[in-house]
Amino acid sequence: MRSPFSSLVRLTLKSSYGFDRGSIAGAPAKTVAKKAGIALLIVLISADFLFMFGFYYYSAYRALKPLGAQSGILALGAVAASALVFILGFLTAVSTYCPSQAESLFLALPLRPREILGAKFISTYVSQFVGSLLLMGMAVLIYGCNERSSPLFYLAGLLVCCLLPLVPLAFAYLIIIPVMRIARPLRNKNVVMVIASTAAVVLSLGISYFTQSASSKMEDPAWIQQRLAGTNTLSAHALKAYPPAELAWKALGGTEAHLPAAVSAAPASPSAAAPAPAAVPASASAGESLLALAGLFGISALAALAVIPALSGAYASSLSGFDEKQLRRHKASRDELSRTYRQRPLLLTLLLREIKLVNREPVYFFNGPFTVIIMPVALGITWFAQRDSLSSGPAAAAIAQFASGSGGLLAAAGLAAFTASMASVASTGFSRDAKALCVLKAMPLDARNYALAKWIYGFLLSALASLIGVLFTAFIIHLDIWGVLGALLISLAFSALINLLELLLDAVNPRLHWDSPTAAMKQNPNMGIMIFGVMIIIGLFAVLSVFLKLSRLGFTIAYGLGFSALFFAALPFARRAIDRRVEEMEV
Amino acid sequence: MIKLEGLSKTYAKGGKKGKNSPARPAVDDLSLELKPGEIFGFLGPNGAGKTTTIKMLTGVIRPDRGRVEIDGIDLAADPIAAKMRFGYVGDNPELWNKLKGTEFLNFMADVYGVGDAERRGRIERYASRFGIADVLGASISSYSRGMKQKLCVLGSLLHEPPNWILDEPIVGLDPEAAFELKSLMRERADAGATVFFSTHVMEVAEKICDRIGVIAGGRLIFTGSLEELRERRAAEKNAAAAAGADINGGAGGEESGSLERLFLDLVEEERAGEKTAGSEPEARR
Repeated sequence: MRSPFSSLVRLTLKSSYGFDRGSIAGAPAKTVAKKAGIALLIVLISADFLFMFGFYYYSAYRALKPLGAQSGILALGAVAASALVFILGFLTAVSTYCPSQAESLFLALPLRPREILGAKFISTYVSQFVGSLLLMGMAVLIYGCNERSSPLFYLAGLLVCCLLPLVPLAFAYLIIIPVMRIARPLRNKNVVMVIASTAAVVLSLGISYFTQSASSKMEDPAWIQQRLAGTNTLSAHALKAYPPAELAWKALGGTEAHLPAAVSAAPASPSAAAPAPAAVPASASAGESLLALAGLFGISALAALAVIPALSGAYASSLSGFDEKQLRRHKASRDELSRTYRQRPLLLTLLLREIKLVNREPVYFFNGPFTVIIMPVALGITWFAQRDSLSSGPAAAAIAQFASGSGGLLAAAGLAAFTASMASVASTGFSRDAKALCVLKAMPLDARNYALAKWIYGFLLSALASLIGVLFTAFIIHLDIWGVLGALLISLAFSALINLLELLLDAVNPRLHWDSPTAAMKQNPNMGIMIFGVMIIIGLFAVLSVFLKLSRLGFTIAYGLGFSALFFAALPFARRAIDRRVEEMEV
Repeated sequence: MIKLEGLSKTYAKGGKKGKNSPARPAVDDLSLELKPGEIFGFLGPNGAGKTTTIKMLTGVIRPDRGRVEIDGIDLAADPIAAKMRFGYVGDNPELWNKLKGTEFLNFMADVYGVGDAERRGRIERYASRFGIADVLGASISSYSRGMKQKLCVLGSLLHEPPNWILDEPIVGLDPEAAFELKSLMRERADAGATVFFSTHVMEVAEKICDRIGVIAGGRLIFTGSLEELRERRAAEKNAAAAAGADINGGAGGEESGSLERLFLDLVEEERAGEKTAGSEPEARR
């Protein structure tokens, strides 16, 4: 028999991450394909981050090595991992504070508040450990491989990765729990979701700006040296201000000698930066490292073990009455009744229902319509970060030449089509209704109207995104009006087809059993399939365009009419298939 | 008028269980005819097939065999026309939380093609009757379960349907609202509508049903009035006593005549019969 706490931890982990230890041997092909797809997605995303971090760390290593300050990348890793874990941990802790009724139910079980908070803490820690492993682990790997470090170094690195998230996470809960306890309006699932999603968007835009700005400068060793080597750098100050990061760095062999003050005034050119200070020790002594590791362990354990019992009572109190809503009473006058209750065409009623249900559910909104706004903003940030190199010199001339030919039209159309596919609301159209299908199917609703309303909603969002995408590209590359119109036509035709395919996919493969809207959206593979599918299709058309060598009008006709023809050709088949599948759906 | 003919439905075809275990019908050859003006209570233990029957009756799922007729319209042949002829209250009122009460009612009225004047009048009338007129402008997510249930009942009546189908409608209602609903069911029936509802509350069935149907193991094991059920059980007991056998329902007096007792006896007997049938091949060996 397991202890109540270990059972609670298992339950929390399972409900947070959907861990399934079931064997895939003998499982249906669909299950195997789904698991393989998820695994592939995880590998791709991890590889993307590892490649990006690896590139930055290796560039930094090469720039710092001549100064003997190469362990600066470990300092950078420790600081960056601590900062990112704090921010991500904060967001995770907020968004998973009380995701379902289960948390409130725990209060009625014979569980101690510290067990409930402890299980929640462990669950949040798991995701932060992965972040720490990616960010700090990569620094350890780059440094260790280049310095031919011993296995003990990697072991210390692994321990550091395990320990680093604990203090930031404890700090995050130290802020969140008292705020939740005091601020009653925050104890609402929708408010929490809006705060967490907005903060996540701002964070990702910030990271995007940083990576875009930094990537063009990572080739310049002097720039890196000025920012990472020396006592007057941001990471050096951060190490001083945040002892756990300093201990992590020292545990991996870093010493103050690796931060020579003179480097802060390093020469600007790479060639001038080459002469290295000779008398820098290779690393701290083993004893110092061990002491630092013990210190990090002590601080981390103390933070977690102090915060959990100290705040568990407040956490339990904040859970009671979580997501309770105030009922507003108002007796409508005759006039109000006349204005409120009006008959509308059925298709419009169904369309308005779609819009309201998506826009009022934060997880649907942030993963759907909001992307129409945020994608151009993200692209704008990319452009802003690289505006100097894009708006002058050979790059600007190349862009002008590219825009004057078919390339500008195709770039605008491709970008618009990609932006238009990001909302992807049609790919979860039927899945979102799920249990409501039980009632909707008992109504005198034509499946065709029901599906058409979903397609129209998806297409309207795509059309808006297409317009924004085309205008944005036109602004960047100075596309003329004919290019704008051609790109818009191509993107709209493409979007019409893609929305139909999305709806068809969700009709064939709906996810109709879910407990929360988050599960309906996040555990539904259709959205990912369509977004990645569109990326591949756009890529293939980019390759095809190179070989076609058509004029702008030629491309507009070929692609615009081609996608339209495909849409109208697919329509009768899709209609029949969707009608049949809606009829067959059982909840 | 509602007519069910030989309805059958089996789940788990080709599913995880279906491959290795024989699929058992959730509903097996169920036939039933409900007349205008009658209230029919559909009773059965958990998992007996009540909800599956209602889902087939309302067109939510397709039967494997059999047909459903609503006022003479074949549900499979002309689903829209057939569905216009009934109002349906599902067993889960938690489906519309992101809408306001007014928006839900407008949606329902638009789907059933109810004109402006009619919808206003009916909403006012029923909302006052259920005591939810002053909360209709609020988000449904802020309603209690009972309020949500009342709203669903209201929505199902907006087109004044000639047939009214309700799945566990009493659950979550306060005594006052439960009384109102029962009165409304009687009024609808008196006005010529057919009322079909499932329930676990024997008292409700006993008090307002003209006829009841008992389903167990997917089979309809009794249809008729409560009086007919009592007579049938008494006759079976007498026959068993004459043969020297003991049949279920040993309790005597007034209790033995209650619907609850009769229901429990019927279901127990059906289960015992199923077990015997299941062990027959083994016994033959």
